[in-house]
Amino acid sequence: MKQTLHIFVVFCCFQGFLSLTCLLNDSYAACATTSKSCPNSLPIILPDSGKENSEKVRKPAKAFAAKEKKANISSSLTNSVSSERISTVKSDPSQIGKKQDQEIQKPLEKYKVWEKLIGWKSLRNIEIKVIEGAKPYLPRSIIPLYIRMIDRAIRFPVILFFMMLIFLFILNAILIMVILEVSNTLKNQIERYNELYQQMYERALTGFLFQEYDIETAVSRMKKIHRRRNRKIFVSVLFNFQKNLSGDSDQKILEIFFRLKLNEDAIKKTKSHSFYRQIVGLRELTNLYPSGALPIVESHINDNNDELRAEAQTSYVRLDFEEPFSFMRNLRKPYTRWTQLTAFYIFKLHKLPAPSFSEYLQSDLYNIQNFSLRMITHFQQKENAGEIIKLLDAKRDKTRFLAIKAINELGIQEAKPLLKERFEKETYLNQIEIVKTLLHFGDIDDFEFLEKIIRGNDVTLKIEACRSMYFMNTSGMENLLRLNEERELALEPYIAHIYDPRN
Amino acid sequence: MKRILVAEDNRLIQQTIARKLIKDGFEVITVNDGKACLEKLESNEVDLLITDLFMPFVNGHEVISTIRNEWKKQLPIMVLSAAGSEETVLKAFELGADDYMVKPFSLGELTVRVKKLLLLRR
Amino acid sequence: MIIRILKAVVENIILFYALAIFSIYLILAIVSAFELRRKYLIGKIANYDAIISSPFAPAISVVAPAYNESMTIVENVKALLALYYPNFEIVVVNDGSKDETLERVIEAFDLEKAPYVVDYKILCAEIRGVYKSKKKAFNNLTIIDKVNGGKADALNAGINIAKGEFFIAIDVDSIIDPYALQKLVKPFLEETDKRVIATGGVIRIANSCVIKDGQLIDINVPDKFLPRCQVIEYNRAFLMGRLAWSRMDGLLLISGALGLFDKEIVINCGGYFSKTVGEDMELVVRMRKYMTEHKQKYRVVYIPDPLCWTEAPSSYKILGRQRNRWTRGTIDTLFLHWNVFFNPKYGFMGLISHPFWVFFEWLAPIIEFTGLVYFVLIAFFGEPNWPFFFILLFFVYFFSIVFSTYAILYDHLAFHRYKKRRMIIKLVVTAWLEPFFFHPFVVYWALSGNFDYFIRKKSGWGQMTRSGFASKKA
Repeated sequence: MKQTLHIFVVFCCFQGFLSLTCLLNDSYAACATTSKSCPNSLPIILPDSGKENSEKVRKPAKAFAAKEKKANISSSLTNSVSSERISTVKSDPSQIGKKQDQEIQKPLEKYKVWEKLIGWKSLRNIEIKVIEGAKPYLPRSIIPLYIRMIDRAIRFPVILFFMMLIFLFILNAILIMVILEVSNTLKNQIERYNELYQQMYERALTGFLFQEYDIETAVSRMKKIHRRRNRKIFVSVLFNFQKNLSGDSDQKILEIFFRLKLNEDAIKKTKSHSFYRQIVGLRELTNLYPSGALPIVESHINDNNDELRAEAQTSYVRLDFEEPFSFMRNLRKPYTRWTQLTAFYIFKLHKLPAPSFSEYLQSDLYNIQNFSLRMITHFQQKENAGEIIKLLDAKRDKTRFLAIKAINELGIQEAKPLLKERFEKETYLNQIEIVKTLLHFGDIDDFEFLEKIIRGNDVTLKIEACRSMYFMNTSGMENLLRLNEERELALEPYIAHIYDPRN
Repeated sequence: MKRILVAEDNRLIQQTIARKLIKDGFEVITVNDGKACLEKLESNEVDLLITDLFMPFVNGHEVISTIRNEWKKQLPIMVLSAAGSEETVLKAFELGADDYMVKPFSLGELTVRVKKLLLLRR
Repeated sequence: MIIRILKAVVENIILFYALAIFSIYLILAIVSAFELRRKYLIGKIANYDAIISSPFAPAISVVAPAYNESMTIVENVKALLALYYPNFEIVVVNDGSKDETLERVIEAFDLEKAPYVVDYKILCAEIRGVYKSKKKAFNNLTIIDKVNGGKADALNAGINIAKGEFFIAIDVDSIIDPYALQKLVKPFLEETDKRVIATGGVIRIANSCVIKDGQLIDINVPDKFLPRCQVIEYNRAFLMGRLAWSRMDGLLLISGALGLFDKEIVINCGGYFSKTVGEDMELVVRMRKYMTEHKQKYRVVYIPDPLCWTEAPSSYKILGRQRNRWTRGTIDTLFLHWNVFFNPKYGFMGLISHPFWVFFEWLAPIIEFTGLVYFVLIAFFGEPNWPFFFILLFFVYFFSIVFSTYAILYDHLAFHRYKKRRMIIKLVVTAWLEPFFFHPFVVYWALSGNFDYFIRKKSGWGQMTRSGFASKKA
């Protein structure tokens, strides 16, 4: 966990920025001492300079970087002293009015930046108002700093920009805190609300399922069921029941689903723009209103949205009783391992009869091939051994792995020579799997093959070869023990290893 | 009246099972997790245990193993779980479970099996 | 004259650096927001019923290195055994503990030494013994006893023994959410054209939470200030940083406390590198390089789900050591893989992730410190522009507060773990205080990490003390 936020003392980085401006102050002061050489020299009177009538040159903030290089820069000491002079503040209210009269009718240099925005006169008025207005409230020592701040703020509008940002940040922070408080209270309330109604609906539904009362009584006990939130709670209760209980309760669940017109809700959801709502609707329909679900599911089999597509593929298995996996024929998009897992689960759940998967072994999509291999292995469909064997030449490592595994578990003996032939060229994991197959249908012909591996270097392959030889049959076991007599092979630990069933 | 302990963390299913068993004439104690299950077994006389596998604190496998190894070796145990993979089922039986039902299950079937287990043990 | 130019250069660098860092964090936060929302919705509809009972659930090995954990090891292993997954094994690696770790666990789970031939696919210190249980209930538990070699080495030993297709590296004293395995493995099974090589989740701070028998009962905000700061820090890092990186496929770090990896790839890469203290980050970078060099498309995924709870250091001393170690680990990784830096061959990682870490994770404290020193010098010898100073000070401070508050908000909206108003107030107030009482220390520790790395050439973990969860009862 290495990402920390170095935001705060990045303020120090900003000291760079302010030092930059400090530097520029210096250069101005330098210009002041040689005022004639500096362009744009206009006499400027600071409101706070009072009796002083120093004429200094100021340049707009934006010209800094370019101009400073050209500025005739003298020693920093002089500069800092000059800056001091610039910033001495002796405010005299009476002087201000005088100043206003004395002011040049042309816009002051410092206001030039604002010219375009609000006009220098109004800005001058604002400036005076701000200073005069705050003076009574501020302690004496702060006033010079304050005035200097305002001055700076006008000269370098970027300060105002930052001040605005700060103000926005503060507002933002307050807003978020308010949102936090409100959201927290709401969420807690919602949780309690959900809990309350969940229990109510559970009781009503249980009563109905146990035939303690009929459907109308049950519905009447479910308060506020017309509300959307409550219907959501109710559907989750229905799902909870359906997931765990089978038998007569299934029928009753469907009955009450229709009675409350939740099927219409579900269909509406599937027409929503949000993929989340569509999935929720689809799921409800699949489990509780299958006939209404099928057309909608079919339209999403090749959907672009991954989650929606996965949901549709899973649902299809449930809905098409005759050919639950026929959608695979038309599939153009990926069929992920996760979806395969879920599909298999639904399939098993509803105890559907397994179709023959061998037709799908030819598919162009490798995940359909993989899925078919897994299913064939699981359901022990030995019919099309030929197709399986063909997949030993598949492009993908995983597909070949699954083919080898299928051969192993289905006991397709005729593939044995092919496996041994391909052994050398195979990937490591596939090699291990090939050696494992010999445990199930190895015999004397394979001793030489296994022995070669046992005499080899790879430890894992050696272990598996020993295991296959030992457990394939009695002659295998004897052969291994005979090999063990060759001291250099040091097979004792291997035999002990494979003999322990926990390894 | 025979007493049955039901260990199940899904409250709704726990209550539904309890209700059905009570209706069928049994006395039922319910717990939410494996630890509470073992505690209840220590202090109470129970005639049969129905347990889930994936529960908080102590999972079902360990509950079964503890019961079989330490005390109440004769207690009939029925496993009721969503986990239906072969390894899980086999492991439960190896550890000493007497019966295994996969969810979704039928309440009627549950009662029948429970009654059968109790009969066999007597 | 030269000084002037130098000053100008330094100041400009600092200025642009600061602007860059602010903008980047802002962009990361925005991208993270979108990603969080999407993942949140997907998480709500995800259905894990299938995997819990599936014969096709991939086998996962939980590898947990343990060193001197005798106080809590039994409890921790019991908690691990209770994870909700149909096909997993637990491999605890006793890394040459000097206390009774091994003895306690042998006694508690009725273990015996099993005859075992170890295939040292990854080199590691000698494995003295492999222990398995006599009881069938614990047939998925394996304990490895080996010569001490450090965490990375212990993980490698565990990987050698692991049987699963994937392995998850954890800290044995963290609390793992029972659903963690299901959730972490899902990305591996969902990707089709790219291969997912690693996934990670959110680590949360468990200080002051009520823990009983290895399970979390009650969630509280930590009482002490320091862990609370870390809560906010983790939220920022996980929810406003890592999510964005994951979305852009530039994630360089999966936390060592919880990460699921493709075992085959890790073995092909050579396992964890034991000579570094940042072994978690180093492995991910190396895995990414491996996939790029072998021209295989891949992804590193991040799941914004709180799957692991860990005890955060609550004293400045220990926290300092941890941060020092993290800094050294970061530097180590960045330098070990220097050929990735701005190398277009490595795609996003080379052009953006690695340079980002160099400039904005490693160098950030250094530049900060430089800025601070510079300012002090200016304050002494020149005339600092105080109005600017204060304005910018406030600017950065409030930016920081806003950012941290957003992190608290993200966490609240997505997970809603801290439910009481009091807790939220505590967090918000901590956010206000953090820049003063926490952040400067973080910078200091990072600097000391740099110092230790370059000047004292230090390596190694230093002392870690554990108080464990056992002591915290209801």
